[in-house]
Amino acid sequence: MTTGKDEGDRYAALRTRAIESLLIEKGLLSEQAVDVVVEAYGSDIGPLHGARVVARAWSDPQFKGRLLKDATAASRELGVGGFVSEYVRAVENTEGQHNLVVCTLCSCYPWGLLGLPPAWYKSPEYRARAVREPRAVLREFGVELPDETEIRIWDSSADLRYIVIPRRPEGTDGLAEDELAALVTRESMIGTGLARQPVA
Amino acid sequence: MTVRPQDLGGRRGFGPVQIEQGEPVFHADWEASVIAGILATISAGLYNVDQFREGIDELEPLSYLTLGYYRRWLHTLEVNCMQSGVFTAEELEARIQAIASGERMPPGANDEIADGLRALIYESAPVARSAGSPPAFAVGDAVRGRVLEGARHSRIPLYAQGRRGVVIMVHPAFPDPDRSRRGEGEHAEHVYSVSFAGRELWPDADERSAIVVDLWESYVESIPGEGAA
Repeated sequence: MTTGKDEGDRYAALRTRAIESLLIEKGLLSEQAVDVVVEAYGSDIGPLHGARVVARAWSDPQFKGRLLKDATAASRELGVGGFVSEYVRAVENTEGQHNLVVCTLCSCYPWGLLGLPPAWYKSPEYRARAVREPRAVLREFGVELPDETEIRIWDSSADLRYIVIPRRPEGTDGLAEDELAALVTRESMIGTGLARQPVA
Repeated sequence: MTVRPQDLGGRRGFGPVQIEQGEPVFHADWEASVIAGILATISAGLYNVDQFREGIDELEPLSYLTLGYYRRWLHTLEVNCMQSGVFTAEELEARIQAIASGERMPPGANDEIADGLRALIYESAPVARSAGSPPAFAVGDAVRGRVLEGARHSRIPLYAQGRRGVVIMVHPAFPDPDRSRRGEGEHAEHVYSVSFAGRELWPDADERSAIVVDLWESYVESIPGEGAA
């Protein structure tokens, strides 16, 4: 059975191929350039980049200080950044305050730190509701915050991009940076999740 | 009322957020081609990021909501390529027909374009811009989001227009998106992170919430009779 979605996909695939071939013909695009995008965002630049930045911030207070002051420069120290992460601001979760990132007007997202955004981040549901009913949205992600926690929602409406520094889980004192990075999920760096608990 | 299908913040009636477990980065091969096409044509200077957004926001509301992210991108790629004279609608239709009937397209190999995209993705760095004047507002200032009647594409959400907030950060200057979209060149303005109490924006908002919006200077006004908070 053909669904509307399949049909839309076939239409988009064909139209894209036509545009791609016209752009190639005009000297504006190449097949290798498409491969560059597939490699960069398909297997290289993803949430692990941001997770390494967070893990370093958890382990090194001086780095965290630099990260909170200038997240673009601090991330660069770890070779993290680039396109759509030119102006990054890191916001830190504390016992009393939780941060949540959204882009209500489009789907702005720190590509250089987290890769391409997940579908839910781009969805009308998230964009409409995150600013107005953050607790209900967080519950859908399985996050229940104490009533007294303040929620700060960052609507990335201009050129700044945001990354959340989640709270470091208890019982992680002896962990190495790469072990810590494994606890930092994509959702925890957007604010719709918390860092994972270490396996006991 | 101005139609702003992109302006979703705070709209009612949307259901639960659909979370796809184990979501792949790409859901179809053509998505990466759309990204590459957009990065390449913007890098070539054919249009700018604000014109890219305009192409999306011009969609009629039903299409905007139902097309999905990459089909909105495909739409604006197509529109902007035609507007900047890269190809005509007839050329595109002819090419679609040719491909649909199985005609093979010549391969396009070009390392230079690939290298350019790689440099953009990995090395893109901050661009310092001068606003020409010092920031008009300082941290702690009480301000109001300007009401922009009829502004179809401005980057101030409707929910912040006419509402009172406080400047919590002053940022460097960034190109004014409205003039940039109209092709009037880069006119950099300071950007402010303005914090609005949830209840200032919606009566049913969480009492312990604040919404921070990044606003260009021309989107913000001082509140008469009030100086710094």
